[in-house]
Amino acid sequence: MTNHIEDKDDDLLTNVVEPDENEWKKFIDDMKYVRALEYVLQNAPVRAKDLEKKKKASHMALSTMMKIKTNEIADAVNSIPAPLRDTLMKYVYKGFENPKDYSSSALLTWHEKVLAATGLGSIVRVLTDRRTV
Amino acid sequence: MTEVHSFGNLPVIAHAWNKDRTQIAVSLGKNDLRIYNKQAGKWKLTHTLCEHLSRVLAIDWAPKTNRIVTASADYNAYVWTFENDTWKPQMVELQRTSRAVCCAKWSPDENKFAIGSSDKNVGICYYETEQRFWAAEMIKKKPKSTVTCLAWHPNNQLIAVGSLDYRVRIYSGYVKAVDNKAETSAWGKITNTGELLHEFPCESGWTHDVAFSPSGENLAWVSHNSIIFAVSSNNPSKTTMEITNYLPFRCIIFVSESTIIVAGHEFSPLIYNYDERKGTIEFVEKLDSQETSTGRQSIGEENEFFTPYQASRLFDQPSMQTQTPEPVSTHQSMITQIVPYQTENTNLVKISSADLFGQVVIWNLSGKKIKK
Repeated sequence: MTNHIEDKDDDLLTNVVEPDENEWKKFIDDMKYVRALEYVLQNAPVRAKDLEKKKKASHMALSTMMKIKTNEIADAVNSIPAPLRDTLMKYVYKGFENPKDYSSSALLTWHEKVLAATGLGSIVRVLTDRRTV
Repeated sequence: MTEVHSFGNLPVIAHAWNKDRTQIAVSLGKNDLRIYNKQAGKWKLTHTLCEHLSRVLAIDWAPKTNRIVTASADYNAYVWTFENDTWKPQMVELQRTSRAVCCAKWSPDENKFAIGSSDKNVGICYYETEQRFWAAEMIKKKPKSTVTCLAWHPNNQLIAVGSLDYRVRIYSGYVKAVDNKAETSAWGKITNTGELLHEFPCESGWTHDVAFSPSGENLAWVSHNSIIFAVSSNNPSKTTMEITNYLPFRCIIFVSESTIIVAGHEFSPLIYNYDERKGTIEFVEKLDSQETSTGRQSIGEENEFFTPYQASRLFDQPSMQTQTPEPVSTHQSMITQIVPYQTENTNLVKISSADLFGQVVIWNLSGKKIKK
C-alpha cells in the first residue's frame, strides 16, 4: 500500500493569478516601491504550476524589495496588510536561494522586520505551505 | 495554581486519568503502559501493562466502565479491563490496519471507541457480545493520508477526524449493533456507519488535533501551519481561521462553548475565544503567567553559569538576546497532549497537559478570562 497522497488538489488548480509586468513597471517608475511590492504580493502566482511564472514574479518582488531603503523597511512591512506578510516572508526565503542576485544583508533586514511583525508563525508557514512562490 | 507532576525525563506521549483522578496511565515512548497510583501525595507505579510490541501512541481511560484502550505503532489496539487486581488485555480485531494506530478514543457513552491509523483507516470498534471480541467497522470513504486525531460528538454518534491530507472530516459513527437508533444532529442526518457528512480544508497544514465544544455545536482544529480553525454547525460552509504568530500547536480543547485552549511547540498553553456570530477567533491570554513575570529575572540568574566565552557572545548580540529570551515556563518542552481534568456545569475548570520532558501539569482555570 502506498502512503502518499495524490496531489490533485482542487484549490491548487483554480484561481491562477500572476502580476502584470507593465502594471508593476508603472509603480516602479512612479517611485511607489511599497505599492509595487504590495501589488506583486497580492497577485503572487502561488497556485501556478508553471515555474517560469513564479520566477518572473519573484524577480519582480525581490528587485522591488532591493529598491526600498534599509531605514524604510520597517514602515514598508507595517503598511503591507497582515495576510500578505506570509507571502512576503516566502519571497525573503526565495531571495536567500540566490545570494548572487540579491544582497543577503538586505534580505536579513527584511527577515528581521517581517519576523517582528508576524512572529515565528510565518516562518513555519513558509516551511509547510505547498503554495510556493 | 498549577500542579506539576514528573514521571522521569522520558517523553509523555499520551496520558489518561481514571474517574476519581487518583490514578494516571502514561505512555513514556516505550512499548509498555504504566499506571501510577497516588499515595500520600506521591506517584507509585502499580501496574506495567506489557502487550504491545512497539511504542504506545494513544491511551484513553473510560471513566464509568473503567476500561483502557491503547493504540500502538505495532498496528494493534488493546482494550484492558481490570479484574482481580490485574489489567487483562483483549486485542481489537482490526483486520485491515497494516500501519501504526495513531489515535483511539472512547465514545461519550463508552459502548464503543474509534481508532485512526497511518494506513488511512478509521474504525469504529464495539464489543461483539455473541462472539466475545472487539470488532471494528471500518469507514469506507476514508481519508487520503495518516489519521492523526479524532474527537467524539457528545451525542455518541458522530466523529470528527483530522488527517495529514490537510483535511478535517465529520463522519457518522453510528453502529447498528450497539446504538439504539440514529439520532438527528445539527451537523446533518446520521445514517450508516462511516457516512461522510462534512469535509473542511486546512490551508495545506497537517491537522494535529481536533475538538468538539461541550454541546457539539462547534468544532475546532489546529494544524502544523500555526493556524487555528473553527466552524459552527449553524453554518458549516463558513470556516473561521486565525493565523497566529506562534509556533505550531499540537493540541486543542474546548473549555467552554466558546473558549478554546491550544498548546504545542509554544511552551505555554494559549487561551482563544471563538465568536461564531462575528466569525473571529481572538487571542485572550497565556495560561502560563509565569513566563512574563519571572522571565527576565531568571535570565540574570542563569548568567552566572555561562562560561566567559558564552557570556561575551551574548553581549555581542544584544539584539538577538532580546528577540529570543530564554523561555521560562512551567513546561520546558513541546506539549504533546491536553486532556480534561475536572468539569463543572459542562465547563472545564481544570485541564492537564503533558510534555516531552516527562511532566504532567494540572492547570487551574479559575481566575482566567473564560466565557461561560
